[in-house]
Amino acid sequence: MLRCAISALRIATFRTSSLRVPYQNASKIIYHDVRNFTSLSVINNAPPVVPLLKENLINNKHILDLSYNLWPVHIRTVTKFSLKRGKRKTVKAAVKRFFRLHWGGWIRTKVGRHKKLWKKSPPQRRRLRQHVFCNSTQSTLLDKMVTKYWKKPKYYVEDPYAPYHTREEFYITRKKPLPKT
Amino acid sequence: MGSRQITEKSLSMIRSLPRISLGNIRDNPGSKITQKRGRGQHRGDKHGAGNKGSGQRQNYMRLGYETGNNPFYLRVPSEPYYRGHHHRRQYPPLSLLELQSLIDKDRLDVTKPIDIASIIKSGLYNMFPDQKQFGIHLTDEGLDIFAAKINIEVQWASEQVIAAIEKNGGVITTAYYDPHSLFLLKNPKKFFETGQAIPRRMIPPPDVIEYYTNPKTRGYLADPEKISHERLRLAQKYGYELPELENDVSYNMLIERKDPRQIFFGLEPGWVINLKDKCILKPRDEELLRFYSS
Amino acid sequence: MATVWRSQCAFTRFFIGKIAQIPNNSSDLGTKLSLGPLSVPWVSRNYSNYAHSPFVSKVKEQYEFDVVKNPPEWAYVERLLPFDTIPAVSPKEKYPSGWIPPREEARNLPFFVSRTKNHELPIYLNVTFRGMRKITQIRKIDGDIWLLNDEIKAYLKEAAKRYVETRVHELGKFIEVKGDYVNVLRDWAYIKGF
Repeated sequence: MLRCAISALRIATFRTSSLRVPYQNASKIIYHDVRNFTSLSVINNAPPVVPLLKENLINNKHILDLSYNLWPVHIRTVTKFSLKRGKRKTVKAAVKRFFRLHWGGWIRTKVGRHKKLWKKSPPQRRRLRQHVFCNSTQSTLLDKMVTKYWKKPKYYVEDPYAPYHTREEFYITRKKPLPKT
Repeated sequence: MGSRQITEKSLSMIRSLPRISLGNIRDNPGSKITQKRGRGQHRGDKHGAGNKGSGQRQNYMRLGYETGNNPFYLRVPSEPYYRGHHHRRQYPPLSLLELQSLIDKDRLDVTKPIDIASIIKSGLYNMFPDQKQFGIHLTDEGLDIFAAKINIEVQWASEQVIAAIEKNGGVITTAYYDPHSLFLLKNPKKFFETGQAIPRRMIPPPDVIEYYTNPKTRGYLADPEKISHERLRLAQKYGYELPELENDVSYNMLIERKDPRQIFFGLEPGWVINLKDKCILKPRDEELLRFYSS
Repeated sequence: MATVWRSQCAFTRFFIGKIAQIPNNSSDLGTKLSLGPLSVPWVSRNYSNYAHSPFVSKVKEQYEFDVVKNPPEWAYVERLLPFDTIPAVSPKEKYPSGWIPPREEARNLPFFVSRTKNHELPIYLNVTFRGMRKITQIRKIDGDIWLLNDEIKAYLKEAAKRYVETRVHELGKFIEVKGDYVNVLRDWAYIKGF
């Protein structure tokens, strides 16, 4: 019951506060009324103001405090089957930190590049500004974390990463046949 | 000898048998092994799952989890590599070398103006307007070998590419198409069969207006006077002699252009193409004419 | 495209009374729509879909169209229609792209490598095991495949200055060469005239 109320409240907090209508909906669910899924028809048909009961869970200060301090839960692991469509989902934390090149390599920034710069020497700060490759194990992990959308080549014009998207000079990552000598 | 008799016998048997086909063929005996989970002494110990741990219990750790360490994929500071990726326009590249090989293999007709419809028709270039792809980016690979006099319309081209085409006496235009028009250009036959009127082409979005009105990039909205001036300037910059367009035999082909509102060459917006009866329906209604001319 | 079109239809149906003009790229289908007030009861309006929104009634008249038979613009339409077959390559003086046409005398050899439908040589590079193994494949071989195998081996030993391993698949009509020898084998095929 409590969980139900909290979830209903969480939905209520996402709506605009001026409308105030979903609160009625939440109270309805708690009072075991007939559940009405078309909330929009409820908006039109129901009278605008319904007096809330005093013993309502919604008036409980503890629950209200809890519900106002709720943050959307960040899931940072891979979803193999989504609830709606049953599809695999991208780990957004991975695409926020890494970049995939067309040849399959991943690049990243250096750890601690903004931390305690005052005590790091200029050469070290220069190295921290660089972007580096992930190793093979990490690249395989990241490939599993993202969907095929991120693995498709993206053809932007005036792309600063354009020279790095092919790596024909290295024999392992070469895709095309060797040119004529 | 016995073996020869057997050979003769089997050969005569094969001659009398029906021809081999998918209906009477089957695998050699013993060529397929079905895997069974053995019991007891017949490999019934671990069934290939190993000894102890997540391998045996099939409870692998979640991806990227490092048993309590700060995971690698969360350790690295964030960087907006993919910012705005769902808004950025993509232009799949077509190199000058590929264009030349299309011309060499007669996939493209150089006696007609070339646009994205004819390049996709060649079958060796494809583009997906629903994936934020907005047309051809003509790239500079094969810049030196390119030797065709063409009138081409692409969506993006660099300065060297423009110079390479104009050096051979050709003409290049960069033009914008909205995704709806690109769908029509990708498969015109499918569109004509729907029996709809050809729509207008939309004007470019604000961030590329500058590119398509710039005579340096040969934009389709640029002033033709300024474009001819820029042609001369580019010829002087790269040090080649600009061939005279006016004295050319294929002058009429080279100066052919689309209207900024036109999608197909020679076909105006508002027309309906009937492929079955080979006729074109042209609107006469005032309201329609006013709408399509705007 | 169909989805976009359908949604635009629905959009047109809903808003035609308000804006009284044709939205661009809409499927007007040559009909004028009546601009009278739509009798939509306000209470039963559902904003989530168009399933119960009223259809357009009272189609007044057709737009006027000129039907032109065999117009001069039909050449432009034919230019847009797809090829029936892949066109044959017409002989030219030179091919700047580096493409070389097959020669007739290759027909007299005991083996033959035919071109693909796109008039290219069927010689490919197969990269497997994350770039660790590269195998060159020659496909579409007719005739004496074993003789061709011997010739390739001799040619590659000369060109690469080392012994090169090959594998013949007689039924599949292809030969696999270990290593990246695509351009060397292409040169060999051009010499032979394939």
